[in-house]
Amino acid sequence: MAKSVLAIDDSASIRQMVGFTLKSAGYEVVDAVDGEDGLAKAKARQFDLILTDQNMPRIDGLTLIKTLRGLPQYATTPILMLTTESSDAMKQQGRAAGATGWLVKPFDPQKLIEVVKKVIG
Amino acid sequence: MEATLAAERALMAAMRNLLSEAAQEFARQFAASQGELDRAQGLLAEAIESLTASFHGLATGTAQHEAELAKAITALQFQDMVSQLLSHVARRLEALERVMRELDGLAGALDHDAATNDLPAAVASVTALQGKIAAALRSLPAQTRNNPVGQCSMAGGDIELF
Repeated sequence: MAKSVLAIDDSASIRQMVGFTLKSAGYEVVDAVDGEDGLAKAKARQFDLILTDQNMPRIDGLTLIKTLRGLPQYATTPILMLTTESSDAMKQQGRAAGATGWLVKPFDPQKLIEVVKKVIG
Repeated sequence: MEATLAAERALMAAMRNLLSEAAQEFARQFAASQGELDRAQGLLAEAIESLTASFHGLATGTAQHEAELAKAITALQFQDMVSQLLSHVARRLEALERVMRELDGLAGALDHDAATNDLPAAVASVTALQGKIAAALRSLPAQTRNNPVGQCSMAGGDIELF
């Protein structure tokens, strides 16, 4: 059974590129258009990996990660941040919030697949 | 004394006109910039929609060109980055517009003070507005500091696992 990934980003083009890349590597990918949509979809079913943007309407990535880490079903699920933000200060905030890793956009598809394989197989 | 008051009134009136003219011109420029930013966002959205459709068409028949496909996937992320940069420029313009509104308020106060001929009250109101303008100017850097896009190229970004 394919591992499932919830890809959360308010940019339609990023969602399409993430979906295309991970589906071509055999993963099941579900999209969410912002943090609130992502949280609702994460609560509705269990995902093996969550890949989220930081700057989004309604709920940003850091807040989403903190919220998910407070849910028993997502206490240990890998959560990767995929964002344009590249400062050390933001990465530190991500680590403190409970992110598993930090990927700076634009992503290289092969490297994204490698990282996803590394964290969920 | 009468001559001094008249000179001060004339100076205040001149300042009022200048500030008012500046505020109106900046408002026109801000509105035009906002319209241009909106147009840029629209053009980007249309371009990415067309490019993505073409990309999906090409991707089905070009499995042997994996390297080129990877480059295209990386490059097609430009809309997200440019869109965030444009939004940040729009926030800068909005912050500047707020300062200009304070300047416009100063122009209005000068207008009122020139008409009332009450110099102490005029000094008090202009001093208060001067403080508001200074505060608005001081808050500008904080309001526009966090630019979410620091990248200068479309090369693949860093990856860090914690």
